[in-house]
Amino acid sequence: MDLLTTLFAGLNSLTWGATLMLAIGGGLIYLAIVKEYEPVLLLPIGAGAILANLPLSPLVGEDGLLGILYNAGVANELFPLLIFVGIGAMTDFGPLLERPHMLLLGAAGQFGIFGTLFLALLLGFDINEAASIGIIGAIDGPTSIYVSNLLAPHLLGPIAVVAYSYMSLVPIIQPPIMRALITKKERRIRMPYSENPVSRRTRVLFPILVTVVVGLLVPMAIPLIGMLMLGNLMKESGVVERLVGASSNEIANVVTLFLGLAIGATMQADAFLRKETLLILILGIFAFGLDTAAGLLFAKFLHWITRGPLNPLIGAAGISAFPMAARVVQKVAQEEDFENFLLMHAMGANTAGQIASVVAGGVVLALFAAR
Amino acid sequence: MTKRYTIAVGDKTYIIGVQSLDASNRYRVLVGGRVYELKVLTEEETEMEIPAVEVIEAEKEKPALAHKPPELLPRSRKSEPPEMPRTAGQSEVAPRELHAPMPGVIIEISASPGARVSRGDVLFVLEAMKMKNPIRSPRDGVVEAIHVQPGQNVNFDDLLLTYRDEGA
Repeated sequence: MDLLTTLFAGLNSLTWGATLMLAIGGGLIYLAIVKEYEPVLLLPIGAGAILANLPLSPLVGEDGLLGILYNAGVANELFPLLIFVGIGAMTDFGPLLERPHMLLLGAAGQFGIFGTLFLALLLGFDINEAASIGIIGAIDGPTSIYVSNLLAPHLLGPIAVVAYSYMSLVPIIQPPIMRALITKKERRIRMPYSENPVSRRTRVLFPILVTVVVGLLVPMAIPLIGMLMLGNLMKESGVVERLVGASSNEIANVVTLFLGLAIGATMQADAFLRKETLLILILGIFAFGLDTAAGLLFAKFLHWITRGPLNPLIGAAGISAFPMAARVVQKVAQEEDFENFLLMHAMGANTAGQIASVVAGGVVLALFAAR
Repeated sequence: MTKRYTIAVGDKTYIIGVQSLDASNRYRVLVGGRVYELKVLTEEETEMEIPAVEVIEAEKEKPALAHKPPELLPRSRKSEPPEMPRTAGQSEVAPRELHAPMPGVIIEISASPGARVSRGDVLFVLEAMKMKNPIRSPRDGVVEAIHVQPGQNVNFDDLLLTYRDEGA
């Protein structure tokens, strides 16, 4: 009889919570494989969740693979920062450098963070939790992970899952907001393509300058912006092709796998199956919608004061989700007028949104981490 | 009393509303989403010939509407103009050339020289920033020549295609 108990120890220890978490892990894997929602991250997260919730799993804990990964790269922020190097190495800031005024739109796309923060406070989250939830609105996975791990590590699992899920839903969530806030007539505004070639010197100096300026203003943003811009500097320098290749392929891929597994492993039943998770899911989409709306309305305002050829739709690209948000802008504009090509303008706003969300992350950390 | 004309110019249709106002010879006209009030000053017959360009068939008015259709009332500034078909391109003259709207790579060419295309047909697929963008025909016409190859990198404003000049 003892032998049987020992043999079926796993089955006997299976709790309802763990069973539900296994199902949630399966659900994430389903979304990754069938719906192709951010599969590169959601598949490892789903797998991590299943592996961590199997009863008596030797993978969790200090000495288990998932525990080791978590301590090696998530608890100390190493993994999200390495991912930023890769993102920097893959990002072309050219469309932004040709249209520097797009930085304004990137900044506007971050208002929702603070709006959501207040709402989360009202719902009873403490200030650090609220700030971490607000960051979801920037739709920037690595920044969300970085910030929430510093401010509210116990919410890391739900926040990461929510942030990446919504990142993949950009093409579904944004268009209705865009159609609701921007009139048909405004959506038809054509923005002539402007060609101001940017010199190589500008492209190389840009990442250095941004790092120094942002670093001086918001020291808490140095890790994020510094790594992002390091990757970009390597890309624009044109002399370290191998490092650029490694950062944007091998390192980024390996780290994504480790990060996904480790985050999946934080989704333990007792930590994840709480009403907070549900609230984060709702607040996350609220933050996303608010950021989108803020960007759109600010672009509308810019159009109104400049009376210039500025299609307010590109305000929606002021969030971080790159390059999906810019593509969505192009698609919605073309529904109205297929001869209108906003893509490069939207890409400018979108890369600005990337920089701005990193800065916003730093600002949030500066405001709350000291507490 | 309001008359509503559906007219065809070429193969596009337009709707024009004409409402005669109380005083004689004053009309309110809806054309292309805009409302004009106009007064007919003189009406006379003349020998002047309007050069024939295209056949304009006026589909005879629908039975007079019992009530004024709302779209013929003066519009408040906020409301949007009703859906009207747009004329080809933005200029009145159909462009003879089609240029690249942004830099990218031509990954697909769906048109061929001599083919008749209509406004809105996809002619090329241009990949820019890893997004596939359909380039559609801005006008009806016949393709004369295509100036790019599949896989070719194009810059902004590079010539992609010319239309056959049919007017001449």
